[in-house]
Amino acid sequence: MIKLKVIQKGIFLEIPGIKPIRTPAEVDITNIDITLVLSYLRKNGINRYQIISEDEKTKIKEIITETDIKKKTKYDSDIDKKINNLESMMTKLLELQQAKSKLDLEQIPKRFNQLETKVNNNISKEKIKKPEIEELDLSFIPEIDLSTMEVKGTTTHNVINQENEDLEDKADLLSRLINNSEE
Amino acid sequence: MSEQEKNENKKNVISVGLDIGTMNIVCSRSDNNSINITRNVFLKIDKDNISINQLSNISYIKSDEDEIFIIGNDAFDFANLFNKEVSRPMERGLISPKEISAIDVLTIMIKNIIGDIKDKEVYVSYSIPAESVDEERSVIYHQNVFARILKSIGVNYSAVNEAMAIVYSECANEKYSGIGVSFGAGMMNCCVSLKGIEALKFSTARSGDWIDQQVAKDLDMVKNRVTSIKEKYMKLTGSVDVTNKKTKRVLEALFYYYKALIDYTVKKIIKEFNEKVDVELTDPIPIVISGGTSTPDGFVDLFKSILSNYELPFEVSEVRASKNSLTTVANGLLIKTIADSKRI
Repeated sequence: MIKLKVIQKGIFLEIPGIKPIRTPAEVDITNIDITLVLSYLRKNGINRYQIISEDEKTKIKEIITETDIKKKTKYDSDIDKKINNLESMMTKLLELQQAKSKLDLEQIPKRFNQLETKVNNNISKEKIKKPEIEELDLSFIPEIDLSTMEVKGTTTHNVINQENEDLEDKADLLSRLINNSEE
Repeated sequence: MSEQEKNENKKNVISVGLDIGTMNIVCSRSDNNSINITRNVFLKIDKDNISINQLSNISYIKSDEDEIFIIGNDAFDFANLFNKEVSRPMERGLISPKEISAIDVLTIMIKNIIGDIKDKEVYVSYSIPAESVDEERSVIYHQNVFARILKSIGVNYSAVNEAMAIVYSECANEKYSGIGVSFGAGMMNCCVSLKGIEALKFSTARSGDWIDQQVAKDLDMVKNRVTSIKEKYMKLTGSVDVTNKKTKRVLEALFYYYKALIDYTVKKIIKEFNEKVDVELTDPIPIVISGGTSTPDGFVDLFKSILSNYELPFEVSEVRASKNSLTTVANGLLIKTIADSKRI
């Protein structure tokens, strides 16, 4: 016969296979799977209990002190947390690798096309932007309005007369030289 | 197209060279032999302080708000009369930020000096300085201001380096290979040209005004007084034809700083050439000097003398002055404009 002795007060025990009972209580759990009982107790935060077996072969689980339980549960919960984290990381990694492996040759041209479209869109945006920048530069120069102004009087700038006979020849030579250098 | 039609087309196309300097605006046109020059200044006066009679023989601008601007040469005379300072649209070679609000007046001055363009297709090359190697001043704004002015006048325009224009004007015999050096009031401009193509261009902030400022500082004088003595008496031949001791001292100081200016310029030419010109010059090239600061007698000889102290990265065939320091740049710009029209 295996007995479960719960010392913790005020808990309503509802272990499957046993009649519900309020603690402190002592129940017969001979016909119930011991792991089920332990799992129930843990799930409900019941940590002050004793499992007694009249059979010599069965070990007796001693009542554990609160501090020990706290340390143990804390330690357990830390390990659990870390294991859970590790599990989630592994899952994500596996998912990523699966996603990567799905990228086959057919998808690569698709991606290039997408990239090309993006680059072309950016270039066309740049082209649109440029005229705005040029206009901003010219905005620093005041507008010219001659409609309200009129030149009057006599023109008095100095005049120098000089012969320009060879101007055309000089210009011809310069024009030929510049054309030759461009070729 | 028939010959007659070609000739008619030719008459309707005008090429213009426009030299926009700190002191003067100079304009030459392909359809006549005269070159127009006007001082780059104006004077705003109150209409109540002047009578119609006084305005009859001068050039002035009148606005709808009854503002009066006397422009060009007459501005100086009336400035003395009214004890006022003239306004200068340009300062040390570039458009003055203080006078940019007077852009309308400057536009009219330029339109006036270019002359009649009605029913004509006009192409203008205008002078701009190169970027300075010893001062943080950009020429982009200056270039854009004049581009806007010329656009508003209704002409086609193209910017050309001022020193390069000297090469266009003076180096046809050397097939446009040469070095143009312009010593202006506010800036020195230099350009190395190889067969009509710019190989190097730069400017420095040391020129005529720098000389006057240094002498004024050393002798504790007003700069304008130094400028006046320089323009009246300066010779760089080594002889001083004045008896007044104070004036003599000014001339000696000016001579010292002229030498310092030329020495500084020669060093900069060598440095910039070594750093920026990759092409090896196999043939000797001339150095042509222009600009108002180079007008005193003996300037070219002094330049040659200082140049001989240095080992140059190129061979110099000769150092000479331009034919007319006042009109050389405008002439060169006109040649460039005509050459460009032949290439279209």
